[in-house]
This record gives sequence, structure tokens and C-alpha cells, in this order.
Amino acid sequence: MLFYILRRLFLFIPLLLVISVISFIVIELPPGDFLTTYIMSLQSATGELLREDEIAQLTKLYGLNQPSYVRYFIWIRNIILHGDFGRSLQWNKKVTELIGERVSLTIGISILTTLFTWIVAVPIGIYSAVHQYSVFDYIFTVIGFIGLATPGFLLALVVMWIAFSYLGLSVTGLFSPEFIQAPWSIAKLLDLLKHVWVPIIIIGMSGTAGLIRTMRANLLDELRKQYVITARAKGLPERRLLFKYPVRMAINPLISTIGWTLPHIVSGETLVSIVLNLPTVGPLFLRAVMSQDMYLAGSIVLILSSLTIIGTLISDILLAWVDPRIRYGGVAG
Amino acid sequence: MKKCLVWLITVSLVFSVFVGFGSISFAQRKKYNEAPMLAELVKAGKLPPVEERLPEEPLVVGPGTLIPREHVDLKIGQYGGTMRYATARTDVCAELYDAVCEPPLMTPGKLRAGKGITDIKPNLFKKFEVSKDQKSITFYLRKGMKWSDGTPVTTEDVRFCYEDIYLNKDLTPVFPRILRSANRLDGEPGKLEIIDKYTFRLSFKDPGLAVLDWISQYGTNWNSLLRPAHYLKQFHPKYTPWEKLDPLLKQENLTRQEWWKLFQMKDEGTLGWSMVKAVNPDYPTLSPWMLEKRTPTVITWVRNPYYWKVDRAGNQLPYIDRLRIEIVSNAEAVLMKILSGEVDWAREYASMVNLPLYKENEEKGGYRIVFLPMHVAPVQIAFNFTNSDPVWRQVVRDVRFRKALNIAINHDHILKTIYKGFGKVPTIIPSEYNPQEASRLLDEMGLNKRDSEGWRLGPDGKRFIIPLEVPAGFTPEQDALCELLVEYWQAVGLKTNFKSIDATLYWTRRDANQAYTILQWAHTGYWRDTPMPSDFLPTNSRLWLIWHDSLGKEGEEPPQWAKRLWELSDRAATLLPSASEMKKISNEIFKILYENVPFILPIDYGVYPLIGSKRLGNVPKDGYAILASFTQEQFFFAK
Repeated sequence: MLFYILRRLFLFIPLLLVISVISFIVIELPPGDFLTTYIMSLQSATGELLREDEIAQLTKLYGLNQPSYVRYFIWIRNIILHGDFGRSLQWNKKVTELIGERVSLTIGISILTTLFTWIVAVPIGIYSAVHQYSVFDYIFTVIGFIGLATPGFLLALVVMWIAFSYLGLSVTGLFSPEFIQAPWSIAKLLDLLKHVWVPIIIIGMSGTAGLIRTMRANLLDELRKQYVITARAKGLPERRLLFKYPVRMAINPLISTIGWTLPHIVSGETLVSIVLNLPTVGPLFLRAVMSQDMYLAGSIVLILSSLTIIGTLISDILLAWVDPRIRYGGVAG
Repeated sequence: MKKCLVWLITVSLVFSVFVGFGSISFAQRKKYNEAPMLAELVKAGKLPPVEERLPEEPLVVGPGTLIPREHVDLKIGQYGGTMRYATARTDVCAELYDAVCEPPLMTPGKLRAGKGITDIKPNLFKKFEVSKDQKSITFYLRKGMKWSDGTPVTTEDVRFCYEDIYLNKDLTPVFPRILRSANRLDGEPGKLEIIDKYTFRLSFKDPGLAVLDWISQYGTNWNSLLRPAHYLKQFHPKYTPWEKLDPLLKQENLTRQEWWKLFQMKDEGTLGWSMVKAVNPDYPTLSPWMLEKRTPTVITWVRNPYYWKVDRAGNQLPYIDRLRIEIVSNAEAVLMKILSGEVDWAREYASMVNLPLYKENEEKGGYRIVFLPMHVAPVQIAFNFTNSDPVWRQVVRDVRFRKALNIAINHDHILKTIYKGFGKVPTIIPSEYNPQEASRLLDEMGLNKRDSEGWRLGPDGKRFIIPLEVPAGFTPEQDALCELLVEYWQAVGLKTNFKSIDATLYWTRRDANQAYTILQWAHTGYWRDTPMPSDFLPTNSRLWLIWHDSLGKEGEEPPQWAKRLWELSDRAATLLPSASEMKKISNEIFKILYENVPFILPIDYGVYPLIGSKRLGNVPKDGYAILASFTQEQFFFAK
């Protein structure tokens, strides 16, 4: 077990380096660079054209007159030696600052959303499996399918419009205007809680649907197995029977996907965040990629990749711990 | 008796002296007023009194100073309030730059000095004089004007800017052409002469006033000729020993060779239209507002206590205390904010496409729609005459083709459907709707043969296709407009392919001379006011542009009409000739444009539906939208 973990950690660094090279290449792939995008957006916003001396100065400032591999090496060197992920060209701030400003909020919302999804989906899934083909099972099934089929951002837009037209609420962002720049306080926390339920429900909705179906299907499979019938015959109370083994088995997929939720928690749900105007890492990343802000985009990819690798490792370990069959190398029976 | 008289005279003399002093100081005390928030700071001893903060001769803003008197009902405003903007971009917030931009000189009501020197009025500079031979200009600063941190503004700030920034190869790799003789790439850099603390002179080898045009244009900021020397010298190795610079460089992980990067990071005046990216609240400025605080999505700017303008009643401007910019994730979120009344002034995101929504929510949102003329025509489609495709070259160089494309367009239809009736049919180029005549012209020039599906054949015998390519997301209405254009042109037998291309790819292709048609703003407002270098020049035909800029060494020589356009506009820009000569130049340019039709213009005299809060006063009701936005220092919130 220990050897297994050590071997995985050993592969961590080379894997990250390969990922950093590939992501840097991909970000640089579109024609032009940050400066051409900037010049174009300046022209479309204001009709102004930069003079040739201004362009020369900006090219030099952004280091865009150097070839890509030079810029890559400078970036990697700064990360390894100084922990400096570079400067964002479009925000004019350090990358670490930009991500730092947003990461706590992103993690907070993502964890709340994931908890919401689990708290809602697991009981409903269990209920659906135990009371198969009952009225509520059908109702939950229909809602589940609608949730699965409707894209999250569409749901967000609909909720925003309804809130605006019928309730007069302006659902733009996480805070009321007076609290955005204020330092953290109890009042600010309360204001956040007032606004955060909309993103949590919208983002959580799409997640719950899938989870309900998975839980239901897995649990149904388990409940038909021999050992459940034996336990029932031996007189075990129904509830104890349900939770001792079958639910533990059905929760398996939740644990194996924890690995993916880790980077997801840090990046946040991008599309819905853009629609709801949340100051999280997802929209930051999208903007960076679209304007070829290479250091910001590259750094976020690097961070998310490391989190994915660590997350997958954690979920492998967790799975081995929860499911003894993996530990003992047995085959699922 | 005599003693009594002497005593009486002495007492009355002393008394009158006291009264005299008292009344003078009383008058002085009442001469200028300031915002309550500043008066508090003065009382607490944190700021000098307003008389000491203003220059000896501040700019007095009255009717006609910032904008012609007919364009706004100018009132004396009230202090207070926060102006809120919203933008979906992290790098450009047009309304912010409009508010803080202060050119050294200005042209009220005009985009540029269309009638020559008489249009140029003082702003930052008190006065300017042009020598008889037009080879040198003398500028006079305002004595007593101070930076936002209280340091006096002197010609040392000008010298520092010119000699230690512009002439420094690290900071300015390419010396600005506008400061070269006759505005030519090969011109000698101008000579700066400091005459005294408040006077300086710029001299050039050849007569030319391009510099004057540059510093009086809307959009040029004070940093064009001045920089806060006292602040920036601490980042310049000529004035600061390396021992002091090293720790600052280390903070940003820069080497000594990269000192200029630190300098430019600190010198935020150069951000220009990207002023919303400013992060340095210590940077001294001459704008009405200065940066206060930044959080990830909200930026606030607060009033500059040393701002050098007052209104007629002696109130120091600006009236509004703060500017607040909120960065949201997309244009729809900006729209949402406008509709719910969370935005006090919007120019950039105001679009005709959303007019019905604006109107619906006017009451609820507490704002009004201010219809003002655009200084640009919404779109112009320019031809690339120098594309290497031989079929395209042959067809596009025939003026009948270009004329046919324009008169095949039903401008009235476009005006009604897309621009809701706001705007006019262009008169700059032939635009009367006449598809039969268009067809006839195309037949006459040799595109009369058609293939089996009815599409015209090009000179190579194959189906002729017009590639109509646009940069994705450039303007809100471009997709609808282009679909209509496809309809009109296909109606006269020209197959048209409309493609929306990613913006970066688009401009890269344009620069590489690979584009056929190029979509851009057309500064028709500029053309009417002044014929100076503008997009009526065929700069999208890249090889012609290269020919002009390399003075004939590279590129492709343009035909006579194009060369003449460049000649005329260069002359107008460099010499700032008299009003009558400007008129002559203007007329000739318009004649060339009408005869040679170098582009397609769907509509002209477009209108911006600006959004302004109902409580805002001194909002212009006429004149260009962008110029209206530049007068924000005289806006106020009515209580």
C-alpha cells in the first residue's frame, strides 16, 4: 500500500511538467497573441487604434517579442525558484494574487454545492430504490430526467429572468453593492448567505439528478443480492439491513469520483458562474484562455492538473480503505 | 487738541487697515468653495485650504467651456454622490477613461481641430503660441497647479517625460512619430527647450503642427507631455542608485536589465483606455478623480483634491465624489444592471439592439435614455485592394463593382429593421437604392455571364464569390446586418459567403494581407469635422499602407486617387492649415471618396442610446456621445 502511494507520488513531477508544456503550447496555438486580442478589443470598444510606438512598447513590456520557449522557461523558472506564477496581462496583477482573491469563495461555494447535492440526492436515491415504482419514485424520476436534460446555464438564465421580472430582484453576483468592498464581518456573511442559495441550487440541480439515478440503480442491484435475502431471512431489522451493507456498496461511485471533485471544487462551475456573475475561478480561467493571457491560463491549468492527480490518488486510497475487496485484491463478486 | 487729532487719525488708520485686511481675507475665503468631504479634511489639518490647492488661474468652466452652450443646460451643480458604471471587460472601461481623461489642450464640441488652430482651447495648459514659420510651439503651464499629492507641476515634469522617458531606448523602443518633424517616420525628433518653470517650447526642423493636433484631440491624456517626475524618478536608474532600486526589483522578480518593466508598471498614466487596470493608488495624477480602492470586481476612484478646474461660482470641480466601476462577467449581466437601475452612466454597452428593453424598464430603473449622435458610423466594410488573389484584384479594382455593391443595398430597409429608424442613408458614397442599375453596372464590367444556378461568373469563368468576413462579436448588430447584405447582393446575382471569424484570427489575417473585406468602425464624424488621418484612408489594403509608411520602399504603389487621399490627410494633420484650406482639403477628399467608392457604408449618422440616471444634471442633450461623456467633471447628482 505504502509502496503504491510512493510510486504514484514519484510520477507526480514528470507528469506535471509534461502537462505544463502541453498546456502552454495549446494556449499559444491560436493565431496572434495577447497583444493582438487587446488591440482588437480596444478598437471594437473605443474605435481607437494604437500608434506604432505604443504597440512596440507594449510588445516589449509583455515580452511578446521573445520566442515561446524562452517565455515558457522563464515562467517555469519563476515558479520553481520564486513560487511566482507570473503576471496576468489583462488584469495587470500577479497570478497568485488573482487566484488567491477568488479561491476561498470558490472552494466555499463548491463545497456547499457538493454537500447540497449529496444531502439531497442520497436520501432520494435510497427512497426511490426501496419504494420502487411508487408514486414518489416516478415523480423523482421525471424531475431527475428534466434536471439531467436541462443545461445548468439555461436554468440560471431562467431563474434570473423570473427573479427580475416577477420578484424585482437583481440576481447579479454574490453580495449586495454595499458589501462588495467591505471587509469580512457577520453582516457580510449574512448577506452572502442571502445570495448564495441561488447559485447553490442551480449548480446543485444538475448534479443531484445524475446522482439520484446512480444511487437508485446501484442500490436496486445490491438489494437483489443473495446476502440481503439471507439477512432478511435471519431476522435483521429492515433499516439495519439497508444501511449496513447495500448503501455502503451503492456509495462506492461517490467515493471513486471524489478525485474529480477536488479540481472541480477549485475551478468552480464555469458556465453557471458566468451567467450568475460569481467572482470565482471558473470565469477567470475562461477569460484568460479567450484573451491568451498565457501566464494566468497556464498557471490555472497547472494548479488544476496537480489537484486532479492528487485527487485521483486520494480517491484510490479512500476506495481501497472503504472496500476491503480491493485491499485484499479480490474480484468484485 | 493736536494730540487728540493725531490720536484720532492713528486709530482710524489702524481701524481701516484692519477692516481692509478683514474684507480682503473675507473675500479670499469666499472666493472658492470645495466639496464637504474635502472641507472636513481641511478642518482636520490633513489638507491645505482650497485656495492653496488650486492654481493661481484655474480653468473656469462655464457655458461653452467644455462643450458648446447649445448642447447642455449648464447649471451650477451640487457636491456629492457616487457614479456607478458596469463593464464586462477587465481591460477597457470606456466611461472611466472618458471621465479621467484630461488632454493638455482641447477642442470643445469637436473631435479634433477641424477649422485649424482657432478650434484649440486651453485645458491643462494655460496658453500656447505658434511661431510664424510654424516650426515651433511655446506652451504655458498654470502656475500653482499641483499633482494629486500636492507637489507643484512644473516644466521639470515635461523635461522628464521627454528626455528620460521618450528618448530612453529601454522605456520607449520606438520614438513616437508624432513628435518627429513633419510627423514622418524618418523625421528628426523635436527639440525641447525649457524656458522657465512654467514655460517650454517644442521646435521641429520642418513646419508642422501635428503635435498640437495630437494633444488637443479627445482621447489624448495629460501623460502625453507630462509625467509626475517627483514620483517616477525613484524608479529610474538615472536618478536612483541601484542599491535603492534592487529591493524594489526583487519584489517583482526582475533583473537590473528589466528596470524599465518596474517603471512602466508604476507609470500608470500610460494605461490610456485601459485605465480600469490601474492598481497603484500612490500614482500622482492630474485627472478629476484618482484611484482609491480595488477588490476583484469593484474599483472605486475618489475626487482629486488638487483638481484645477472651478465652475463660475468658484466651486472646485468635480461635483461627484466617487466613481465606482463594477466588473461583471458578460454583456448580459451589464444589461441586467442597467435595467435594474444599478448603473448611472453607460455609453459603451448601450446598444440599439436593446432599445425596447431599455424603454420598458425606464421607469422602474430610474434612468433616462439619452440619444446622442455617434462619432462613428456603426460599421464600414472596407475592401482589401492588395489581396494576392488575381480574380479578386481584377474585380475589386473596377469602380463599377464597388458602386454596384453599394447601390444594391436597400439602406432604408436596414435603417428601419436594425437601427429602428435612427440614422440616415449615407451621402458620402453613392447609396440610392437601385438594384437594376447595380445589375447593369455588373453586366457592363464583364460579370454578365451566369452559371447554371444563376450566379455571376468571374473573369476566370468560375462562379464569383464575395467573401464577407467579420470579426465575431465586434458590434451587436453585425450578424443581422450582414445577413441583409447577403440578401441584397445575391439578389443581383453575386453569391456571397458570410463568415464570422474569431477576432484574433481575423486581425492577424488582415495584417497578413489575406483578408478580402474588412469590417470596422467608420469615423464619419471625424471626416465631417476634419479631414485628418482617419479610416477613410484605405489602410486595410495592407501593401498600400506599407508603401506609404515605408516612404515607397516596400509594399505596392497605390493608384493616384489613394495616393492623393494620403497626401491630403497628411497635409491637414501636419500643418493644421487655416479654416478655408481645411474646407478645400475636405471637399477634395469627399469628391475622391464619392467617385472611387473604396468601401461599403450601410448607414451614417448613427445614434447611441446612452443611459443616464434620472438624478444626473448637466447631461448634454446634443453633440457627440463620446464628447458628452468627456464632460463628466461637470455632471452632478441633483438632491
